[in-house]
Amino acid sequence: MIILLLVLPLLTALLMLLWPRIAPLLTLLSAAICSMLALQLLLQISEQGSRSWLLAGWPSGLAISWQADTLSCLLILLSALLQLLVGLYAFATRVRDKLKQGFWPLSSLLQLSLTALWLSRDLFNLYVCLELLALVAVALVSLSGRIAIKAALNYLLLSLFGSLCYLLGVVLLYGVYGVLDIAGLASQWQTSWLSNSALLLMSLGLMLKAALWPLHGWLPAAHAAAPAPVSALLSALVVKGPLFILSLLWLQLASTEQAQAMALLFAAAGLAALLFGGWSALRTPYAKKMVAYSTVAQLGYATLALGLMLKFNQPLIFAALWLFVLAHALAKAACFLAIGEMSATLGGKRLTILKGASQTMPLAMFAFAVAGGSLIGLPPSGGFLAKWALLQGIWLQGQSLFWPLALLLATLLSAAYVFRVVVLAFDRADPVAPDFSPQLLPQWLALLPALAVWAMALFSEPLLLLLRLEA
Amino acid sequence: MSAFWLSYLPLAIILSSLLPGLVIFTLKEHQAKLRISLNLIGVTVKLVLVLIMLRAVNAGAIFYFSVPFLPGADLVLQGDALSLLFVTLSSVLWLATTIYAIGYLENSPLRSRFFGYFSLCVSATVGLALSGNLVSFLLFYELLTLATFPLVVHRGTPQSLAAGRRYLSYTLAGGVLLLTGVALMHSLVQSPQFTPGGYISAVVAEHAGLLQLAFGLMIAGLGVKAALLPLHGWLPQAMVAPAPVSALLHAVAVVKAGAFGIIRLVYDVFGADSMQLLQLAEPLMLLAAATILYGSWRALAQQDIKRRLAYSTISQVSYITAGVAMLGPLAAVGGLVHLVHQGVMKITLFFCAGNYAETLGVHTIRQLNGAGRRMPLTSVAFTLGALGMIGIPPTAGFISKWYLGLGAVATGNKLMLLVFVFSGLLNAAYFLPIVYRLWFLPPAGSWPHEQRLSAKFETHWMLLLPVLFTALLIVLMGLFASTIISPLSWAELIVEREFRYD
Amino acid sequence: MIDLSDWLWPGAGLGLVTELQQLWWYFSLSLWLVAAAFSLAFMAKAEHKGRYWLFFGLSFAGNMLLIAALDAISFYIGFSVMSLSAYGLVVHSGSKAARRAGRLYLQLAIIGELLLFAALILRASAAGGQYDWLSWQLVPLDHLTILLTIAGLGLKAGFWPLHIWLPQAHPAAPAPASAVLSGAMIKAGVLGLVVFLPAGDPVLQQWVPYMVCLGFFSAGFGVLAGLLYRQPKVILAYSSVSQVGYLIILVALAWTFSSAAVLPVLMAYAAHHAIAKGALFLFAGVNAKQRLPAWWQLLFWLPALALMALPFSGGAAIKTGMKSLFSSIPMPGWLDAGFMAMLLSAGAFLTALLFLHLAAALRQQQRQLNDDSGGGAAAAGLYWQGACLLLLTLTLILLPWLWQPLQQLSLQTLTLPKIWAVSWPLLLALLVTGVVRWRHWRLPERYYDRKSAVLLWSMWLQRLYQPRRQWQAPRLTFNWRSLERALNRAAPDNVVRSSALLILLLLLAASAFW
Repeated sequence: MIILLLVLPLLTALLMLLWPRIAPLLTLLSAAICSMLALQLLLQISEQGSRSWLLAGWPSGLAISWQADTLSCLLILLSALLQLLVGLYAFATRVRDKLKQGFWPLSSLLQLSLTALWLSRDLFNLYVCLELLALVAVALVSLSGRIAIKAALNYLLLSLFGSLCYLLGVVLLYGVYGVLDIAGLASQWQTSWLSNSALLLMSLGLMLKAALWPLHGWLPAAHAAAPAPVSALLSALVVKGPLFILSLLWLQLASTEQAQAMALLFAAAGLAALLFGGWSALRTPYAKKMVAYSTVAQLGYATLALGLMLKFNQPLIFAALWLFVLAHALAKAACFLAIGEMSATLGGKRLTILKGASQTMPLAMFAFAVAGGSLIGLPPSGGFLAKWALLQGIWLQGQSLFWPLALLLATLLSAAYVFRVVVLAFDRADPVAPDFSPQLLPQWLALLPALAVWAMALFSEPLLLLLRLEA
Repeated sequence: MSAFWLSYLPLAIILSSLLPGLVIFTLKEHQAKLRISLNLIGVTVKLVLVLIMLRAVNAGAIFYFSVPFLPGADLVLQGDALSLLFVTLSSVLWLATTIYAIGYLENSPLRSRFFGYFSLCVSATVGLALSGNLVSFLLFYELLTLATFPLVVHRGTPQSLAAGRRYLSYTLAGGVLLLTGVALMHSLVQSPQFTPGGYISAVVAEHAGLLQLAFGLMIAGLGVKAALLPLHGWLPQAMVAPAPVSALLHAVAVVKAGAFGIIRLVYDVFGADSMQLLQLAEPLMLLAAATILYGSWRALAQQDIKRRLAYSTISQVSYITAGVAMLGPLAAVGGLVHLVHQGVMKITLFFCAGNYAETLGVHTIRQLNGAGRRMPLTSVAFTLGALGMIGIPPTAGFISKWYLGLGAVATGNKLMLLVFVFSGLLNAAYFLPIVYRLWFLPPAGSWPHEQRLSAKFETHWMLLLPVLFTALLIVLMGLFASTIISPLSWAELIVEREFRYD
Repeated sequence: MIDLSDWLWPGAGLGLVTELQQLWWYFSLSLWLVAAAFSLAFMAKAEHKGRYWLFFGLSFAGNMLLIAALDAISFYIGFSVMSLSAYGLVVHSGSKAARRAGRLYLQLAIIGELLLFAALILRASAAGGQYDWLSWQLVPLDHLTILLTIAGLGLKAGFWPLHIWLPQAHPAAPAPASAVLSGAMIKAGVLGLVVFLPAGDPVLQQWVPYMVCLGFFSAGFGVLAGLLYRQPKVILAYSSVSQVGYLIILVALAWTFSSAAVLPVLMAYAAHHAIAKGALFLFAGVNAKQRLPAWWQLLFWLPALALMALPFSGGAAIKTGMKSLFSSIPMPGWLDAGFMAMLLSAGAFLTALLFLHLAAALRQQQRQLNDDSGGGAAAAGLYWQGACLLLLTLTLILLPWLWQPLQQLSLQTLTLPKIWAVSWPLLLALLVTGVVRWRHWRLPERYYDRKSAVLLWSMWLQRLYQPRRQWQAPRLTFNWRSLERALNRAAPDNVVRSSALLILLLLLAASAFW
């Protein structure tokens, strides 16, 4: 089944090259099948426990190591579902937005690389996936044409640079330990100058690729320049890949001293991302940039959770980390689709075009607001769940008031930028008239993930349980 | 009715306004008849359900409905005496406000949206009243914020948008503080159901500091909506909303949600004993006292009718907090009954202000000269409301003030008695000049923007009927306070149950 | 008696149970009815008649309710309704003076109301949730409660120094309203002082001598102040201040253990004063409006002489009764009976002076009226008003001889020494007035008809509670927009370069650290 999950997107991409005319259909079909498979896999794994295997039956050390645990399965499911959704959106708006044909095979490849990434437990294999992911992402950004060239190029350069750093770290480790699968490395890990440097190099590379503060510089431009469905995919999924690897590195490889040393730095970076990203989102005059900066900010939650997890080693915080990722993926997809839909219909990329959107495009605006609610962490949304878990984790750890207060501030910032848009939308003084009559289907598609993220709350107990076990 | 169905009653009460609300969102502007009938059906169903529940709770039943939500904190709806006090208040006033709003918004744009959010707002309020633990309370508290925001900015003018922004920044900040506090409580004692006498007594000794912190955080969060002193700034500005909204916001939904939360927190989470052990009651009481005086003082200088009423609300809602914080049964009765009485009185006053604005175009107090002759019924209602606010017998306000005063003396807080007396003076100082202008001064000539809304009455009958209804309630609740169906008896029932645990 | 405790609050009830209540009820009722009848003619041409009757009716109802109340809350309800509606009567004319007086009246009424509220709360708390008079009789008092009660009710009763609204409000109101204000409503305060504070309470005993002194002072002050005014209604109002002083003495005596002996005198005084003062105010109202036939003077002099305690009138009987009370009730040494009796005689002399002054003022008023102002226009109305006055006057004449408690006192005054004791102050007053008139002794003009400083106080108070401007929290303005611009300008524009630089820096920092 896992093989099918990997092969199907690849096969689809190939088929598309043969029959470009039915590319959308193929993408959607494969995404739908993958979603079902992923769901099945998730059920299976959560019942039977995680499975790991080595590719092609080679012994450990040589073979490529894979592992499917609940977290990976959840992420696979998420990727497949978002793929399907974004595909549908792209299909529904393809004529209007003049989406290039290249989107379809690239999105299949994106899915392939992501699935592989979630499953790999081998540093080099991870590198390969990462590289593939980055290339596909850059290609997707450049679909926008000339306006996106500069952003795409920057993205490409920095991404390559990040990969290089990561590769350097991998090489160092291989030179010392001779193995690359994570379980193997973890068993003989020692704190040394060399492992320190390797970890540092890899972390910096990954941080650059995941756009964690302060290395987020490329993200707003790239995400804002890409077409709406692409931005949705990039923000929701692509940046989570490097983050996943980062958490693997630090939670499974790094020794306690290393973890403790870096914990506060990560937490501080997360906090800075929250404040800086939030502030930038609040102040930027462009709609998509606002959402992109919000991604920077929201990744800060994940970084913060990672840092606190390293510090306190509290399963709840681990759960919070991945809940943030899940909730953010859904919410951000909804945000980008909604904003994309509104800027396409109302014509313009400034935030001011959203004036009066609550009347002209109530559905899309509602989608944005609902997704924004999760970004803020209003109950009972996924974002709330994550924040609740994080707060619980922090409170259980002791008496420090600093982190709750910092979270509080960050929440207020995110509320500020979300409601900045909402308030604009309620401006009835001079609403912006749509260029053409708004389409309903894309708006519903934007609303769907937003509703899904609020529905996460219904499954809060199993989700928390699964993720806590994972830690 | 079988026990199984009865357990769904709390849910049904929420759905009775939620479902019509959701349907109303999808309606077209011109489907006015359908919209009105949906609204009225919702109100009627809700009132019937509430009545069923009232009878059962009076007989000693407690309704309970839960859905799994967070670990250790299910989503619980609980129908007990205290929650029913608030549910009944909001349902009855929802009826009045719905009728009023139909008349008020006749022929204005975006009515579907307005009524949709209106119903959501009521659902959130009722949910908040019925919520059975802190986490559920938090949930509905935030939903209430979200549902009222579109109502505040309904007019879409720059002032209303500014007010909306302000409202959001206050309430969301409050919500986040509340969230932090609730999370802290949850990490200490989980989030069991609200129980009379509180559920933290086991950990008081161990975690005194953290409990105080949690209390502070939660009071700060609830204090935003209850407009406690440094957190009241949103309320006067939110006055730009249409009259039915400010009536609902001020009398029922938002400010009362905060006050209700404080009641729950003090009696059903912390409990009087732990409050005393942790020394939390005194500061809360002093804060409430300061708010009472400050709100009244600020109201003196306001020249806009609605703003004056808003500052008056700030002051009056803190009576509830003060009553609760004094931790005595009599004071609690006073606080609880004031929740209802203040609601009815303030909604009357706001309805009247809306009537003046809608019929005569009058917004400031100076323009009110002689309005008593042009709109006698409205002015009578306004006068009753104002007298009630001052606490003149035999209005409802007198009853609550009486019990608050008795409670203050019984708990040995003579200072609070002084506060109540002085606040009464201030209330008189800012309400009686309005009444004087209404009745004793000659009109200034023509009204700013007069509309002939009805051939027979002084204004549209839908604007008049709710006002008269609530004004009548003010007198009836005051006169027949001791009868079995009065809010006072219900408050006594609650207090009996709350203080029975020891 | 109507028991309402099932419907309203515990102990709620209405009824005329005690003799005090009965008498109070009857004299108030008759005064109100006569005033109402008088209003029919007097207010026939006034504006806003509906409003007048509304407030008249409301305060009538309030007054009757508070007398019939068997519990504190009913009393308080009646008291509030009466006080607040009387405002409508005071400002009825709508003139500037009336509005000012009304403002002062309302300010003090509200203050009194709330003081009384506080007193009631303290009392009810002490009584453990019982509100009826009977249960309150057994509950001990404390000084705070006594102070609040006296202040709250005293503001209505209007003795010195709580009288300040009286000389403003009574002249401003229409005559029948002043009649009930002075005759019935200020008696409500007096009644309250009797029923609220249980007789014989040990703490209360400490207050008795001081209240007696206050009463005497008020009695003297009222007259002396009244002598300085020349408007008849103001003089009458000051006379009320003075008369309430005597009532307060009686109330204070009624707080002692011998209240059974005092109460008849108190009731007699209240009823007598109510009717006489009512009649005088009504007369003053007519007197100010039109020229009157000479026989109308009778309608003035009969009540006036009764209040001056002419022998054989009710006034004389009451004064005699008071004197005998002084000797029977123990007082602290510095306040012996002889001294008090002397004060009483001095008071009678002063009262007589004031009424002679009033008579002069009334005559002066008549003289100033144009001959054609009244004319025969309202002849029927005039007769009707005269009939009302006559009714009151007849009641006043018959009261001392027909009503049992007063009858005994009246019979006691029939001895010659008593008659002399009552009449020498009158004769002295006549003499003094005669001499003063003859010699044209007058104070310098600036001492007469002074504007009361109280109105200034009331204005000041109003400005306090209706401020034009209030302290506002200073709005902090910080031009962070320019700061933000500067920061934006400083931000690197080449993302690649800056990111690479950052990574290098971080690596360097890390290697330096390790």
